[in-house]
Amino acid sequence: MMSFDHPHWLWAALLALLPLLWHGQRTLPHGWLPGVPADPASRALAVALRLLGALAVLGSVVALAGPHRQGEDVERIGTGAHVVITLDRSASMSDGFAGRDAQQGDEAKGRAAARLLEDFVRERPRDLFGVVSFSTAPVHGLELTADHDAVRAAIRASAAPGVGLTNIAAGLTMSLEQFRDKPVTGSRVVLLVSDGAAQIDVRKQNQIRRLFAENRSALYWIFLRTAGGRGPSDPPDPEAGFDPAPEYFLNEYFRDLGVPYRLYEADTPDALARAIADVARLQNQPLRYRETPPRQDLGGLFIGIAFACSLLLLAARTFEVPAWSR
Amino acid sequence: MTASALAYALRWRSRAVTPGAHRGTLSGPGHDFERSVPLTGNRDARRLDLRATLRDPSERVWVRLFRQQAVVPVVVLVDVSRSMDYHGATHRHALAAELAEAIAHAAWRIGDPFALIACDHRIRAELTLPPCRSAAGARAALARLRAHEPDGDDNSALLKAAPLLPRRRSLVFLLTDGHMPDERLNRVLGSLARHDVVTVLLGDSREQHASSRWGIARLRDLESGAERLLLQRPALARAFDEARTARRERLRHIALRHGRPPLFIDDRIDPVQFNRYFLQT
Repeated sequence: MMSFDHPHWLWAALLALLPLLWHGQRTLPHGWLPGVPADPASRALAVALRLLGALAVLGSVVALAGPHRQGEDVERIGTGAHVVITLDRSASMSDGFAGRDAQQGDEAKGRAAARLLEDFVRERPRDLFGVVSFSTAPVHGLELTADHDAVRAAIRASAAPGVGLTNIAAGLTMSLEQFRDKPVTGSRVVLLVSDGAAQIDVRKQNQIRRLFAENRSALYWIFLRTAGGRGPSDPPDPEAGFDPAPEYFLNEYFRDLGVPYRLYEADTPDALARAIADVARLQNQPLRYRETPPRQDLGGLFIGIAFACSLLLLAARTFEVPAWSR
Repeated sequence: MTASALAYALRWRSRAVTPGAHRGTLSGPGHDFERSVPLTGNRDARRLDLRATLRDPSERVWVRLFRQQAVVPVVVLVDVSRSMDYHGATHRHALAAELAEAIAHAAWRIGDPFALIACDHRIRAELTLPPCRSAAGARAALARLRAHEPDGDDNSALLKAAPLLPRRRSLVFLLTDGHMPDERLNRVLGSLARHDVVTVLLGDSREQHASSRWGIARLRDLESGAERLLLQRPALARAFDEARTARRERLRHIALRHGRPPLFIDDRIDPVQFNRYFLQT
């Protein structure tokens, strides 16, 4: 839809009637017009010249009014996804899935996740990836990029033995910051891989909720469950006395974010592989989204129309004959 | 030059009493043999018909009787509507005035009375000359006609001209450009049916042709003021020529229905063409 900076100029559009009323051409006297043969081409030319005149005036007037097209939302279908892989690097990620019953030679959770994520990246050549790892503090691994070698290297690097706690809020915040000021050309996903949770205070909760809404990003949480440990789907047991059950409440909070969200609980490398395959399948679906295009200035277009019409009129003027049949 | 070169001859007999140059119907001095009659009463014995006298068994004397020649009034009925003001290869009104003057000369030479009636959308009384044989009067009327600037919206008053003409059968030259509906020309000629009407159509080669070069021209009708834009091009030039031929054929058809073919005069007066017209029709 077109709108105008100076709509009052549009009153001048009435001037476009002038060329319809006056032609401004030189007239040549003739004895008897009814005797002149009818000529459809001439009639069409007469109408066309008047319309050109009207159009020239109209184009100039509209250009004066400062026309522009203000972004009407257009529906787009995105293909390549933007995935920010958010990896937990807390100390527990170095353990195997078996927890305390770990045997020598078991694959550490972090290493298994890194291996499977590398495959995930390899199979999705059209996507952009970013890498953020977090423990007590978040580490900015890699900006969103199409350089998949760098992405795999970053993922491998985060599989090194971790330290510290699980500060999910800081990791999510940094991950979401990756999307800031980037065009939405595909679905956005924050792929959170962690083996624990932490409480997020209300201020952080609101900030994260706002960031998710602003960036329109989906969230997939792959929870690496230690054998015998608690998971997000286990509600706190009132019988057990004080039980913060941070995984459960974090899951509830994520479900309440208002963005596409899925939880995968993986307690073996196989289950982790299935979860990642599921994410890949989901993200293969094309994304429909609405985009607001930037304001488009149409003044040049209308000036161009007016100019072209004027040029044509000028050409017609030079074609006028000074005397009949000479 | 043209003024003295035109001449007209008629195939019908004038019923006028006044002696003139055309064949008449009255007996009198002349060389148009009518019949022979016995010389009784007051007949003139100078024209003795020897052959009839000798052949008569009762031996009466016969004399020849001749018809006297008579005048034929010549009326120039001229269209002075605005379309006559067209300046093309020539000024049409000037051409009409020149032709009227040439016809007046031709009339004086053989002693026919000359009358002039000018019409546009009304009868132009100030330009009208009743039939007269005075050269001075005709000259003055022709000067007025020449000085007149056509400003009539149409030539509809041609329909009202008939009562102004002599009652006796006259030779009428209708000088017009033919720029009127066919119906009107038909009615004008019908209203003049008792006269011998020569429809003189003054054409203009520039008006009725289009250039085949490309161009844009907006034509304005001199009479109605209507305008039309034309894209000048070879196809339009052909269409103009076809339209001109078709129009002339129609005018010819209308005029022939009323007795005489039209006389087309384009751009200039050709005395040979004018005189041949009277030999051929």
